[in-house]
Amino acid sequence: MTKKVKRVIISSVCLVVAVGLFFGGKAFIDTTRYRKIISGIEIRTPNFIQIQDGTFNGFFNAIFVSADVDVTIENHTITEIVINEHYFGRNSAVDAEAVIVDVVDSQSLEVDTVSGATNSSLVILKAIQLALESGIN
Amino acid sequence: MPEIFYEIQDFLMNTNVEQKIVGDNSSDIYNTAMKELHRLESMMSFYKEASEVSLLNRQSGKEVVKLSSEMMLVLQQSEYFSILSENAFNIMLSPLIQLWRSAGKRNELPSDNDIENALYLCNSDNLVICEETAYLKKEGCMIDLGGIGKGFAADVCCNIYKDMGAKSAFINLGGNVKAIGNRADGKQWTVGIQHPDKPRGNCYCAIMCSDLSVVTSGGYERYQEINGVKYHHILDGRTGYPSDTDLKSVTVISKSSTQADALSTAAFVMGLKRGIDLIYASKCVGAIFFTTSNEIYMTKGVNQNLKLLERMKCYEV
Repeated sequence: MTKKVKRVIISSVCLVVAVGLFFGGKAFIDTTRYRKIISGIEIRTPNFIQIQDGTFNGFFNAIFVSADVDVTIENHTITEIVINEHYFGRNSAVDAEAVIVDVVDSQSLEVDTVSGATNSSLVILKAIQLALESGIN
Repeated sequence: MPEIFYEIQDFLMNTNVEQKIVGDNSSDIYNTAMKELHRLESMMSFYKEASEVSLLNRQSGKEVVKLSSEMMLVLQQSEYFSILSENAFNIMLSPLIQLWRSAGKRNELPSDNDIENALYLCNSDNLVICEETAYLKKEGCMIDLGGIGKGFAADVCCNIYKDMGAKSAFINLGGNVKAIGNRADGKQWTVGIQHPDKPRGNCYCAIMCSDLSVVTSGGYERYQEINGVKYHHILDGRTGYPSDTDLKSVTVISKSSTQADALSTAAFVMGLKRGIDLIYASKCVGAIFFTTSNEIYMTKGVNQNLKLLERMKCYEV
């Protein structure tokens, strides 16, 4: 292998490593900043008496996640919240085609069982388990 | 007339188990299925000391453990789904789960340092699987089969129903549903999908299905409040925090409940776009994504078996 070829190979490897370190380092820094932002979030309830009627926009950015909302106030009460955008990560756009799906009256559809819901809370279920176990001889 | 069991409910695997079995010997089928469920719980429970999961966890950082062929199958499938989902599905998250549980009790967020330490143990590379043995490389590493165990149990039960001649049946393990055949009236089973924003039992749509599993994951069912902010129970092993995406829930439809269970969690963690990619890569039947903008995105083919119970914007992807 000639000296020139060796130099090209070494330079290429160094470039790849440098690029990797740059993006890897950036990802590490971004993740650290994301966690710092999330852990610093404080939710404070404002004094609604001081808020005039109208629709107000709010935006919060936590690097990997951001949200843009509009909140409508009438007579010192929230009447509507609209999520304009909830961004997660890069490449969040999706190619989708609007479709029409049959809407049926829930009274006319006999649902046999439900996916995504336990029948009662975990606390209640645990209490049932303990009660059953206490009844065992 | 075949003997019919209706709405038998039991408490097992830390959740409600509902079965409906239609067949000449449905009571025998039920008893056999219950025996199997108890056996699987004994094998896969994180909490029972004598389970194979506990046996492996106790030897973390120490010894290689020989496990049953069935347990090895579950671990191998878990590894496959981890790779397919780029670790959005991960059975090694127990140190992180426990960290958040104790943070909730203290009403204090876990520190960055604590999260880093937990994530070090949660790396899926810490679990080494061979043909008959498994090994956890570092002390403190633990596996938890909560994200795949119910699906596996549902598959086992449905095989029992079929092998013992049930005409039709379904099992619902804490919201993880699998059905075989059609209902007693000949129509397909109607599986409602929980609305993520409404009280338990309120559905936004229903899937008509036979011989399929329907599993839904979402952050709405379990959460804890820390300093007035709700943190749900589905953790993202890549950030150390509860997943925060553009999704309120994901429903996966598959012939395999094991696959549906694992993929529903993974797709929820990955968000809409990457979740869609995952579903197509997995070649399951399909999925429905309920976004934070209250829109429905479904993969191709799902629409024909779907009934909406309220007007919503729907898209096919």
